[in-house]
Amino acid sequence: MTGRRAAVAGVVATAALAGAVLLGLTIGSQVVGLPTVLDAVLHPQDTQLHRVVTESRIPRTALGLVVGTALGAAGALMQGLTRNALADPGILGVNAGASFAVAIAVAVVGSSQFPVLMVAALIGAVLATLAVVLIGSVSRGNPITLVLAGVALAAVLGGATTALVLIRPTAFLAMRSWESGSLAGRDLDLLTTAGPAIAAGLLLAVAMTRNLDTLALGDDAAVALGVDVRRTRAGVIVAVTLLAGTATAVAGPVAFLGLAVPHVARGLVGSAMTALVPLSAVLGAAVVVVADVVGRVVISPQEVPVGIVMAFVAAPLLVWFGRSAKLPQL
Amino acid sequence: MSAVNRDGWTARRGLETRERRTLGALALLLVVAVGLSLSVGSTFVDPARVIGALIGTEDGGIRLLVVEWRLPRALAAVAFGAALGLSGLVFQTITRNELGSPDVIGLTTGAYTGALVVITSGSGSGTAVTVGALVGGFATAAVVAALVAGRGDLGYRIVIIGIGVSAVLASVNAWMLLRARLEVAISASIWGSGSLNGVGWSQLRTPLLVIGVLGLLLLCARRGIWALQLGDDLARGLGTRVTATKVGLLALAVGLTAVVTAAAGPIAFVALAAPHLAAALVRPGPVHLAATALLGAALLTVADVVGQHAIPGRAIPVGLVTLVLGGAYLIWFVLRSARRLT
Repeated sequence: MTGRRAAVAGVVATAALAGAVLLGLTIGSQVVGLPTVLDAVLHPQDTQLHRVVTESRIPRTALGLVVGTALGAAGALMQGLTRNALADPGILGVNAGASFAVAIAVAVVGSSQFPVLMVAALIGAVLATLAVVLIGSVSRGNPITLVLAGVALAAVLGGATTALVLIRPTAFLAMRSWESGSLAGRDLDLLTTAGPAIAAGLLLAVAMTRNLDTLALGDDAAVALGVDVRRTRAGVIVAVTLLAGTATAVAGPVAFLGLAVPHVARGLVGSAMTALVPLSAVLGAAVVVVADVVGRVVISPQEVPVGIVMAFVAAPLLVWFGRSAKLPQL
Repeated sequence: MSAVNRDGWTARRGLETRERRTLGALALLLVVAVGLSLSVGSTFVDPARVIGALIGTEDGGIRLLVVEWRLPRALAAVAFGAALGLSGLVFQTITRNELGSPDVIGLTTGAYTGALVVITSGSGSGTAVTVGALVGGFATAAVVAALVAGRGDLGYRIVIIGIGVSAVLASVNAWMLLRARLEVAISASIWGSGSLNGVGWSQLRTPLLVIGVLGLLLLCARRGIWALQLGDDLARGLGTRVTATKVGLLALAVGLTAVVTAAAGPIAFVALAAPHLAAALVRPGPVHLAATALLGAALLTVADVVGQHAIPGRAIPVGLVTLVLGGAYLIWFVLRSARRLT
């Protein structure tokens, strides 16, 4: 039964993803028909339309897929790790940690080479994730405490990032659009560095899901069932770091995706991580690509960065959680 | 010894010696902080000459530096800090929630949204920006109140709701800033972090006047605050019209936050921390109000001195200083009270 539900959800999510990609390639400040898109890929010519497709639409859609996959999966993992449905790498400060480290790399080290930024983002992300885990253990499983402390952590790191960027005006320009989370003007070449990191994160995530589900029974039960608790936690932390850190290095901090997508996915397949993580990854990809399309058209010819669209659309979910009589239990 | 005095507050008449000392110490702290902000800078002015400039025995460059350049900024930090602290105290009292301060539940962000709408639509006058911030603050308060209403005692959930509202508004703010031209965006993002840069006498007149009026009104309504601090039932028993008092106080508090936001941008966590720290030093009631105002003023003044001089040659907006220090305080506060939160 659960297997069938998961299969149906998987098919629906894949269809949604295909639709999202179609939108991502065709819709923008000017609509490009699918035949033209195919033509641009197969027989590229130096026309303006073909350039739009190869230089803007394809990179943005591809990067959107990668970022969305990473953040969707990272959100589900984070919720499993903290046993908290309000957990999200954006809300809890992991993305802010990655951003702060990137700002240090740009403003202090003076490098804007992507591999450097990515390494910085990973270091920032792992430190912030460890801080969240620490906070989670001090807060004794209280969901609201974790969220409040995480928001405060994100505020501290965000303030420090802004201060750094303001101190170095040259960094301001480089960080301006990146800071709100954007796919615009990103180079497809980023994928050669970011792609493997995210793939590794996803593989590790999938490898950890079964143990994470066992961990949900409690540490003692998990040990009795032969799960290495510390190794599982460590694996999940590494996976979250690879996924959220790399996604942040590519697109800047995008919050609320990791909150909203696993929530929807849980409604479809329940809270077993084995189904939740893959489904969140697929749905996350679809959502980011669509959010990017929305950002392109909503005030065309100007653009709204995808991070702003996500916050605007998904932050009300937090309000809804706050109003609901009982917080969702994991 | 104890008697219910005519303020409806069970207390010994007058202040205890200990509280008088506490208030005196806080006032001294504030004076020292202001003295620091007047004397420290690219040109150090020693305290004797600062006093000289203030009472008019110095003239020329020193007088210009201290009275025309540094004094308005110091005065702004004092007035804005006191206003934020009082606003936070009122909010925390009304929401009966130590985290229910305007910066945590999204009002500061909303006031900034209102101000940005006015600025980006091209109307730059200070009054228009203040009105925009007021409208934004009241609208946000109304939205949060509507979202909270009818849900009984939400406890700390009002904070989750506020964070959600705040995030939506922050995305709107970021979007408005991205649309602006680069020069506008740089200056707006310095202001948007909460800054006292460029505050001179001429920009200070309106905010000081409004804060003064609102502060006086708050002083007149002080009995309402004290009564509400005892809880709605007890307040009603003491003859307070609870709903009317709450609405009136809320209006004053939103006004205080909005005026500061319009003048200096969003400054976080002073409204949160000042009432907490004051509560740790004195008992609830009249002294708490005074201690909160003094602490708010001192906190913002010190934060501004830190922001201006912590990194030589590079001024950091005071709002970022309060964001980082106040955020760290919030983490500590939340974890310390982890067991009480639900």
